[in-house]
Amino acid sequence: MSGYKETARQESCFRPGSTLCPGCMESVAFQNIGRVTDNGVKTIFTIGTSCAEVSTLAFPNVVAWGRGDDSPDDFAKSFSILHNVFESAPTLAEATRDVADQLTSIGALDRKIQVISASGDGGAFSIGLRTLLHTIHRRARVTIVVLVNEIFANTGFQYSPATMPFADTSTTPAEGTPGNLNPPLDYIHLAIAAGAGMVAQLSPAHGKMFVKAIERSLEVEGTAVIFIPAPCISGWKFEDGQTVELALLGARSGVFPAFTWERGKGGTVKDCPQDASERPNITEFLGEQRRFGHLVGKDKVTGEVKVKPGQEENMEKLTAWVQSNVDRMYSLAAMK
Amino acid sequence: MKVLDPRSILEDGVLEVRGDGKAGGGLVLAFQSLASLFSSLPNTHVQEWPFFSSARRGANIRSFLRVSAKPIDVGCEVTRPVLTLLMDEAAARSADFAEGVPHGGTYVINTRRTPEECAKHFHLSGRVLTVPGDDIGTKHLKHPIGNVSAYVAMTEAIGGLPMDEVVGIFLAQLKKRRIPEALIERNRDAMNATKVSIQSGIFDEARAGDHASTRFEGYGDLPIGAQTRLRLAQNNKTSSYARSGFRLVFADPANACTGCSHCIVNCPEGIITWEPDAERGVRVTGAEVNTFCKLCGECIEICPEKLFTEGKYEEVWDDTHAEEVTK
Repeated sequence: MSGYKETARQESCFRPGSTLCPGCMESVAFQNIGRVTDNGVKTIFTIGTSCAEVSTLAFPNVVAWGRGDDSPDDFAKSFSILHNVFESAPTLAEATRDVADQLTSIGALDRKIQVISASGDGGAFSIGLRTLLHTIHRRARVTIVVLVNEIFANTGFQYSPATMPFADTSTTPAEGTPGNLNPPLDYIHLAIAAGAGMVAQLSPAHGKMFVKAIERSLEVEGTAVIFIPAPCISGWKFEDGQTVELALLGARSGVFPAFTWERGKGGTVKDCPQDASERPNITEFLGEQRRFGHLVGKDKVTGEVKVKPGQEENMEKLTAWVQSNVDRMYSLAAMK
Repeated sequence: MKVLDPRSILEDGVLEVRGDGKAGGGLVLAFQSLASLFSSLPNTHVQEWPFFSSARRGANIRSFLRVSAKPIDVGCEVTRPVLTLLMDEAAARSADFAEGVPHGGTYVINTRRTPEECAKHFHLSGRVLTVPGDDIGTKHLKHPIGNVSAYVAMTEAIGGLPMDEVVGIFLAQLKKRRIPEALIERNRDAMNATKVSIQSGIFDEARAGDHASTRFEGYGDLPIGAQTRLRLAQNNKTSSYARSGFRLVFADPANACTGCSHCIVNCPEGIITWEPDAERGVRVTGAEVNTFCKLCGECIEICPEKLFTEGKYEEVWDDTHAEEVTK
């Protein structure tokens, strides 16, 4: 298969009817993962508790998943979903792969399956870091998708280990303090260090690259881990219709650069130059979101984003963090 | 028909209040302010809680409130409210906001329409108060949010509450939610403007059997995981999550679609319709707006040819979701 337009024409097993927020990036990601996995191989999804699970699998109404009226006997078109709690999606995927391999070895299963685990960043980095690293370390032949919206969106927008510095969340309120003071977890480096076969950080806003990365992740040796930056309309607090724009802006300004890496081949950082002057200013990204409202303000007439008085020092720190983030991505890409 | 006065019910027994709205529409804030207002009065007992499911922004939600001069010893959902609020007309498409209200009850509706039109449309018997909250919000807060006006109309419906207190308590709630100072002041203006925009009237339009509350007959066949009808939009047609009064419009009279596929790939619902095209690969023909479009606006932003727009959709009362899109 290939190409962006061809993928757009594929049928997706993720269907309309989810109760996710209007304009949720997780929904876009699932649509496209569904399209890519419509490749004639049975897919087994393991989904941990997260917005993406709670809002798409509300029993008895699972209309958000399905293959329309196709007969369930069509093995290649069929797919399964296994649900478990927050941290268990990678472990469950690993177990599924093990069982499938066992069945194949005794001749009980003669067709291929592909396993995709999906969890949120809270579930993967906070509650489930141990199981995530363990699955990667065991080199299980699965694709792990982590939807990174930088907060525990499902439970009320609390801080997660992926939260950006100075972001206002319900547990790091910008009231007296300038929001979150912890630098985020270096999850890409962690996944590489734990032994992943492929690591990528891509949002569906980078359509072609995203589709290619998902396709590749189903083929590589070892565990493939894909981190999907997912702008959260309710948690990041931005206006309607800006999800894709913010995902692009965040990637280009260096907050979550588009990154792909494969063991033995090294990696690339795309669409995000290392030189800060060639990137869009970080304030453009911050100005659209009310979670940074204490840091920057947008001029209503000119649309220019200005640093608020008294926040210059914090802004400098944040800019320095963004630069170190981009530098780190480039050094990770240089690793083999 | 005897009109039931909320004020005297409050003094003699328990005043039960219910509100219907959409998540993100300010219903919770309005009810919390009401609760806070009553708890500031001497010898008043208050019980208040919002109710929503795992569904997100735009989904139907409910709020409950009990006020009494005596201690309140029940804790279940309010099923027969004397006073009920409809914060968002579109919310009435998925739930009956007047269900279980006795004849002579009070209905507060956030709408541009008159009390008479509302009473006729919803078949209401009792006192009907209307307030054009979204317009007041747009004028004073630059955002079509009606909770400020709905809250004032609710206090008006109960009566006997000093306006200074009413305003002060609401502004204190806003402050607690870290709303900027300038915006809080604009809320004060909106509240004062509401006072003169409230219309009311007494009507008897309910037919026999209208808004009858369903008898509770045990949990019986309730499927595992189901909590309430509110858990899902009606038939899970998530187009009711969209902003009330607007619909997505697709128009391509000049056949300008380039087949870039960005809208197809980036539609969170995957409802963009297209047909194969020899030259361009695909040609977009529209979107299934009446079923699942939440009007997130991604396609509007992303289309290089600007083929998608947001159209006014006045007929929020039309249950059939007829394609009466006015530009």
